Amino acid sequence: MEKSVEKTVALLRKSYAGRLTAEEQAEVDRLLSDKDMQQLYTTIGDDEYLIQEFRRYSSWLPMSGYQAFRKKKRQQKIQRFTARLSVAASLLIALGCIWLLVEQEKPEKPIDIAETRVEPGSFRAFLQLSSGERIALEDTHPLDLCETEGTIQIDSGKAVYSAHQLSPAETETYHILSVPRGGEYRLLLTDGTAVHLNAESELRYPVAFTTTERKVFLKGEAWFEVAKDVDRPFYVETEDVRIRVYGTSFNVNTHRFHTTETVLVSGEIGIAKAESTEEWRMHPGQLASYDRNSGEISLQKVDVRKYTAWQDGEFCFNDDTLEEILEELGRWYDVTVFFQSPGHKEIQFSCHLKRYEDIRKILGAITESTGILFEINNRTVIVK
Amino acid sequence: MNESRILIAVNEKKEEIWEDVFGYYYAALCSYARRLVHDPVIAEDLVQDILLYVWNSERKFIRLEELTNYLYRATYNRSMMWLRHEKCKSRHLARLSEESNPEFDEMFVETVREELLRQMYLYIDALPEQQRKVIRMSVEGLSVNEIAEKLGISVDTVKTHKKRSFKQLRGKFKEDVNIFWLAFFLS
Repeated sequence: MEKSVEKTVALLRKSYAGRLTAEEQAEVDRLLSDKDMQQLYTTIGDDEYLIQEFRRYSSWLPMSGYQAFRKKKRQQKIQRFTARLSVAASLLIALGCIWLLVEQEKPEKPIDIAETRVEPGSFRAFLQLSSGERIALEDTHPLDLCETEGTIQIDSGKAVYSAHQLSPAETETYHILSVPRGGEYRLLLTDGTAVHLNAESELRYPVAFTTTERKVFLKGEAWFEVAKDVDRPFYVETEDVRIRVYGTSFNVNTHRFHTTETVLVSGEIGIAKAESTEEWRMHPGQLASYDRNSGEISLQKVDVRKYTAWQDGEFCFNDDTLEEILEELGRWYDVTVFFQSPGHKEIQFSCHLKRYEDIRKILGAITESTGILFEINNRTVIVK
Repeated sequence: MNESRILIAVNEKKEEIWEDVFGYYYAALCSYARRLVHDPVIAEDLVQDILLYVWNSERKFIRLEELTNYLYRATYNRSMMWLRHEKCKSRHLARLSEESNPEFDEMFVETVREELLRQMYLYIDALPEQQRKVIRMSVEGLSVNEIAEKLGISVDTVKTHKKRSFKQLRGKFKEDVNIFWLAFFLS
């Protein structure tokens, strides 16, 4: 039977008043068969006990409780306010602060409403065949292609290559996969290597690899999961660096303003400058930055998530400047960015955002923590 | 009337009548928390936090009893949280209060006790003036003789008032509470 405080209290008070019906009396008798309840009934019936309890009650004055409550309420407000202030302050001195925005609700109206929706990128790319023919790969159309060396199945944002002959090809036929701004695309090469290309990136690769080596050429940003093959080393070449791979996963990005960045997640790779044979061996968790100004490569330990988040559908910025952040957003949403006050470019900022959100939501999140306003006009984002 | 006033204060977060919520529940909840944490100051602090939580929450109550039950349970939960936290802080205390913490259901008799006391304490203000004064002075610790002297009435009258008042407090029902007096007290 369910115990109800409310009913029991009413019943007991009726009992003290001596106004119980026979039925209720039976109910009270049943209640009082419990030892604790019996003890309670007796103590409440004792005037001196009540005086004692009430004396204690009178030491907790509602008035003073209410005042303490109001004080706590004020402090709570002040805490919230100062939290906001300190965020603003740290941004002002360009230190950047962590702001987890992934789960943040939609901000009220930080951005001027424009009629055009700016959608995030989607799976789209152009594939240039050996003949020079250029095919648009859209998400919706499955497609089978055939070259002398192998076949290519194109379906749901992915191009899968399989070699015809069991013996590797003598000569190499190249394909170029170009991902425009606002796109991304995935590739599975004949050797089993998986490549995920980010927006505004291009990869040139043979339809089938030869016996001696595997070599691809990258512009932009890509994530590689290279199939292990000790006899045929895998090379990723960019304008600046050449990466020798021994079966591993890593991210290469030539989009950064002054550097080409390579981050190794697992396995082992060696990195060299484009025109050099001197090689730096990289270990998992390391970032190799090639500085285009000095022409030097430097290695450092980093949190790899920042560099690989994009292919898990997230943006992860960590003390990056607003200019760099918007540059990357621009590539993904295919918008051009214009800074009204160039001073804003250097503001550093950290955030963690979902890549498949509407750009408005992402910019709203930045507005929320930096106070910087954005205006979206067709495909241009104006930083006010 | 007054009960709906309390509900309005809680449901609509009416600042100007929020103090009434304290008049209605504060002492009883403090007393309830004290039975669990064995410290009147801590108890008071916990109850203030609970009422601040209620103030910030969106929860709405249809019946006053629902709110009352909710507050007892919240007080119980908050007190248990505090106890667990303290036990973590000090192994010594853990050994001192080796007895396991009761479940809320096991607190039933204690909850009934507190609610009885709360209602009775609240209704002191609904008593006729002289009876009320006698009860107040008794609670303040004055002896029957002192009260008789202060009020200029006989010792026997004080005794009678006292006895009758407590009997009335125990037995009063919600429906026969003098609404006028309560309204006067709460306004």
